Amino acid sequence: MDLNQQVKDMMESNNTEAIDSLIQEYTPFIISTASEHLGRYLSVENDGAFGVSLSAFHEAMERYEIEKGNFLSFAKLVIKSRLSNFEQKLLRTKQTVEWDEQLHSFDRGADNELKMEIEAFENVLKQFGLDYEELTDGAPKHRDTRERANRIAYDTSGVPEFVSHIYHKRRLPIARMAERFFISLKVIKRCKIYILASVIIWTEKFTRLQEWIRPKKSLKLESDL
Amino acid sequence: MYRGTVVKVKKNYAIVVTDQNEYLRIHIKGKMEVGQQILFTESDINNQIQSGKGHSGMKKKWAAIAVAACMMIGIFFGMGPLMGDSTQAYALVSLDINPSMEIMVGEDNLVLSIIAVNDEASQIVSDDMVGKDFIEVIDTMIKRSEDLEYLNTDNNHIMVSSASLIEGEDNPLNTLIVSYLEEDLEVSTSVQVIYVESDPETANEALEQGVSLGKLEVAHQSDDEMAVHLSVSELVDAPETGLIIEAFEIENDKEELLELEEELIQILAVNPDAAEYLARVQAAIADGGEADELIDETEDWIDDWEEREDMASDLTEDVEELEEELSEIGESTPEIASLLGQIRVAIANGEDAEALIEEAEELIDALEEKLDDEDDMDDEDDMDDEDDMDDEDDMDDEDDMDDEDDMDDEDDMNDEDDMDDEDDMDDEDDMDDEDDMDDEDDLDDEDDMDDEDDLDDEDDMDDEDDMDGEDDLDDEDDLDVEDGMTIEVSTDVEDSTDVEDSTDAEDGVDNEDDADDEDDMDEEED
Repeated sequence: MDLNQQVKDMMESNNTEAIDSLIQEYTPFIISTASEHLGRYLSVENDGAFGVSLSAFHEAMERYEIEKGNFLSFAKLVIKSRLSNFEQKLLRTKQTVEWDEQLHSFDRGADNELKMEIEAFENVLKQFGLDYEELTDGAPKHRDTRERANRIAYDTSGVPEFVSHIYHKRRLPIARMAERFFISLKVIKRCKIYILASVIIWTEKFTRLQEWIRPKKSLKLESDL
Repeated sequence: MYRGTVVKVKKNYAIVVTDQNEYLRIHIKGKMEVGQQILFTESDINNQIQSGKGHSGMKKKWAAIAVAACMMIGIFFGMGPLMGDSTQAYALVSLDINPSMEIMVGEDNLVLSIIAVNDEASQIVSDDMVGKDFIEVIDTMIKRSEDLEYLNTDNNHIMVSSASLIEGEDNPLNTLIVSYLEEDLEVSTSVQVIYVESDPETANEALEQGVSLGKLEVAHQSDDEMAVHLSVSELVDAPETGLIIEAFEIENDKEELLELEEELIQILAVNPDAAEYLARVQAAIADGGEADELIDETEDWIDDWEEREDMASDLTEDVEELEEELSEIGESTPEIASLLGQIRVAIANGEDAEALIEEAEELIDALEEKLDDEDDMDDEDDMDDEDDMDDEDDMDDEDDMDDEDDMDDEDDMNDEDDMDDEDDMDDEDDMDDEDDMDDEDDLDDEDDMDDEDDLDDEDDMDDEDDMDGEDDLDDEDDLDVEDGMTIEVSTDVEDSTDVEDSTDAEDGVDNEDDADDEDDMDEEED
C-alpha cells in the first residue's frame, strides 16, 4: 500500500499506534524539512521548532486527502507554514524576557560546561599529537567495534600502570593490554587512536564527554577507578 | 536520525560526535558552535572530506629495542687524525657503527674535516671525503662499513647524531639527515638506525673529549657517563641507555619482499585477489631490483584486506545472531528472509551491511512485538475502550492547536522524550547482545591465530615487559630524554611532509607507529 493511502486509512481508523510509529519513522524527514526551512540544525534539547514541526506533521496527517497529492509534499508544506508562524510569533514576543531567553537558547543550543570540556579535551589531544580530525578519520565506523573499543578504553583507564605508560610514552601499551584483557593485538591496533582518546576522557574526568564513551555493559573493573 | 554534539567548526564542515560516539563531518547550516547539541539526518553527513593528514607513504620502520641487562666497559680511544681545516665548521655530525667518526660540516653542507674516533674508523675515512657533501660522505662510510663487515647481522646498528656548533643557532642538518636515513639509505641487510639530536654545548664537549657526539648525548640524557665507552649495540642493550633510544629499522628490500611473499601465500588460500600481488612480488624478488613502491602498495593492500575481513566477520556474527533470534521466535516473514539474504550478499561483496542489519533487527523486533501482542490480545480488550477515549481527547487538543500553539509545543516535547527513551532502550539492548558476540569474536580471533602468531605475541609481551621493568627504574630521567629525542626525530620527518603539524603533535603519532612496528618487527624476525 502506498504511503498516501496508508496515512488516510490510519487516520480514518484512528489507529494511534500506527500514527505514532509513522511519525517516528518519518522523524528524519521532519527534522530535515525543519532544518532546511530554518537554515540551521535543530537543537537536541528545548528546540521549540522541533515540537512545532512534529505537530505540524501530525496536523498534515489529519488534514490529508488523497486529492491533495503526495502526502510528503503536503506535509512539507504544512511544516514550513507552521514554522513560519512560529518564527513570526517569536519575533513579535521577543521583547519579553522569557521569550528572549528562549529564543537565545534556540539560536545557540550550546552549553558552556560541555563546550569547555570539548575544548579542554582538544587541548589534551594536542599533547598526544591528535585532534578531532584525526579522531574522525581514525574512529571505528562499525558500531560493534566502537563499543568494544569503549570497553577496552574503560578497562584500560582503570589500570594505573597503563595510564601512566600512556601519559609518559604517549601511546598505548598494546601488547600488555592484549594480554591483560584477553583481546587480540589487532583489535587494539585498529582503534588505537580512538582508544587512546577515550582513555584520556576517563583519566581527565571529562564527565560530560564520558557519556559518549561509557560502555553499555559494565565489566568487572580491573582496579579501583 | 542522529543526535550529536558539535566539537569542531570549520569553514566548510563541522565535526560532531553522535550519541553513539560516532565522529562525523556534517555540512554547515546556519551559525554553529562548539558544544551545540543538534539533530541531523543522513543527508547532512559530509563523506567527501578526509583530513589531509595520515599516511604519507613514507617508508618508516620504527622499532623500540628490547633491552638485555649487559654492561660492559668499552675501550677508550683517543682522538684520531684530524684532516682539513675546521675553523669554518658550523655543525658537527657523528656516525657510530662501530667505527666512529665525527664530521665537521661547513658552508653548503660540505665536509671540512673528519675525525676518526677509533682505530676501525681510520679504515673507513679517506682524504677524498673532505670537500664533499656530508650526506654523500655518510653514505660512503656506511657502504664501506658494510664492505668491511663492521655492519653485519650481529652488529646492525647505526647511530647518527648532529648539532650546530654555534651557540643559539638551530641545527640545519636534522632534516637532511633524517630524510637520508628514512628514504635514501640502502642496505644489504636490515639495520636499526638511531638518530640523536644534540646541541652546541654537547658538540663542543664531544670535540674536546674526543668522543662521539651521539654517544655523549646519550650519556648526558641517561645520566650515565660510561655510556660514551659503549658500542651502539651495547648502548641499545644497556638498561640505562637502551630505554631512551628509539631506533627505526631500515629494511633491505629483498628481505621485506620475502616476508610479503609469505604473507600473500597465506592470504591466497582465502582470497584469490592476492595472486596478482604475489606474482608482482615474486617477479620483484627474481629481479632483485628496488621495489619500494611495490612494497608500500602491497602492504596497503594487505592492511585493507585485513580490515575488510574483520568487518565481514563482525557482520557475519551479527547476521548469525539475528538468525538465532528468528529461530527462537519460531516465525519469520518473507521481508526478513529476503533482507537477511541481501545482507549475506552484501557481506560477501565486502560491503558494509550495518544499515541493512539494523533494518533487519527492527523488523525482527517488530515481529516479536506483534507476536507478543497477539498473545496479550484477550487481556487488552478492555483497554481498547480506554484507548479510544484517549484518542478523542487528543483530537480535542489538536482542534485547539491553532489557538494554543504553546500548549502543543509542550505536548509534543513530551512525545519527543518518550520516543527518545524508547530509542535508547532499544539501542542498549542491541548493544548488549552485540557485546556478547564481540567477546566471543575475540576469543575466536585468538584461536584462529597460527602457532607462529602465538609465539610472536609472546615475544611482544616479553619485550614490553622488559621495557617496563626499566620504566620503573628511572622513569623521571628517561622521560625528559626520550621526549627530547623522539620529538626531534619525528618533527623533522613530519615537517618535511606536513607543514601544518605542530611539533609536539607529531610525537604521539610517531610513538603510536612505534608500537605497531614493534609488533611487526617481532613477527618479521620470527
